[in-house]
Amino acid sequence: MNVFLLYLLLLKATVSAFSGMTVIPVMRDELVVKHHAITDEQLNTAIVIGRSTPGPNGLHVVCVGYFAAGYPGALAGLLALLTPAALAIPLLRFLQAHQEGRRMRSAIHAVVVASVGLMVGTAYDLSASALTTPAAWGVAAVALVVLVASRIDTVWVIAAAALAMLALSWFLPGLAV
Amino acid sequence: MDVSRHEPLPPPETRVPREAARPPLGEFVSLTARVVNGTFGGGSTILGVFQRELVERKGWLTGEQYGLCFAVARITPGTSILAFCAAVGWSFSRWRGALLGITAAALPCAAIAVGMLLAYEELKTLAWFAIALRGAMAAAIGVMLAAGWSIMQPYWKGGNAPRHAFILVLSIALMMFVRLSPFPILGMAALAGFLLPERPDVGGKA
Repeated sequence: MNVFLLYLLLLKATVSAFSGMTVIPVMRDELVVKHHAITDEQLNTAIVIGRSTPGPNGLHVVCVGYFAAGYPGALAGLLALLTPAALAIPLLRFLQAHQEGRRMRSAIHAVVVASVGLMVGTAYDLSASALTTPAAWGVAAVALVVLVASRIDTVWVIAAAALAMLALSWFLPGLAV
Repeated sequence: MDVSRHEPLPPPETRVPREAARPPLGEFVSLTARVVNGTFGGGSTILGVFQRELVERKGWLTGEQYGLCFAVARITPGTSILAFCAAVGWSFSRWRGALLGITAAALPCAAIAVGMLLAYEELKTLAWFAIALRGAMAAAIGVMLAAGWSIMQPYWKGGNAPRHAFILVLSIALMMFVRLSPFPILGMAALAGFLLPERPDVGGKA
């Protein structure tokens, strides 16, 4: 895939999202559904690796870039991740002048809430390739409950899920494979 | 990053100076690289560590300056931590500070992510690794839903909660049943939010 086009598509995803995970619906729409540059499985792997790495939540954009176009793609992903941060500077100056803008705040809140809706829809779409066995459904449900109900770091939950699936494939292969 | 291993906090009366002392750029870059790349848990965790380091320990930002950079990070599209580092860096040393701030924040962890991808490419043909990866991918679905739950928490509170619930359900429906792509859904949400502002007299996020 053309690296500049990849950068633009990833940039479209990063500038339309207000948190690391909310870039995923746009990335999937552009790179999996429209351009077939990566598969759902690669997108899911990118999420796993992005969440298992220290630092900001958006690192899966770098991983998606790598899956789409190798090292140049990873660089495109990194640049797409960095570019929107430059908007912080004019926003900082604008906010100093319009800190109490009610319409602006309402628009941002609406975008954040709609982004969460898109995350739910994307999780549903990704579940077709990620949740193919009863054990996978169980692991996803337990991970969700643990993450909502505790402050355990995501990386430990992902590691425990991987170990749990290995154990289930050993003891209950009918459910896990 | 284990903040409990740092030196003890100074007495409360010395934590937040009226006028913050601007740091040498090298120290800011070093702190940013250490905090962002040494902390698991994403944006909220890292912003918490930054508050402690920049305002309470170092005194490089006042509480108000930190609050403004925090707000900017929340409303800037993309990754909030990178926007925060750009805003703080700009406050210290204009464009040079912003550029060094986001580079120090993103480059080391991006290199770690690519390293993990290379390990993944080597290991993915092994049967045991493929099974373990299926577990991690299943957990990723839980991670996405939990992140959504966490993001929504402030929006469930106060008199604007029904409005937020409506936007949430409508965006899910437009994506799953109408199969509208994300960009127009977000655009419509922004327009609706701007044209029909939230009630100002309620608690919670609004």
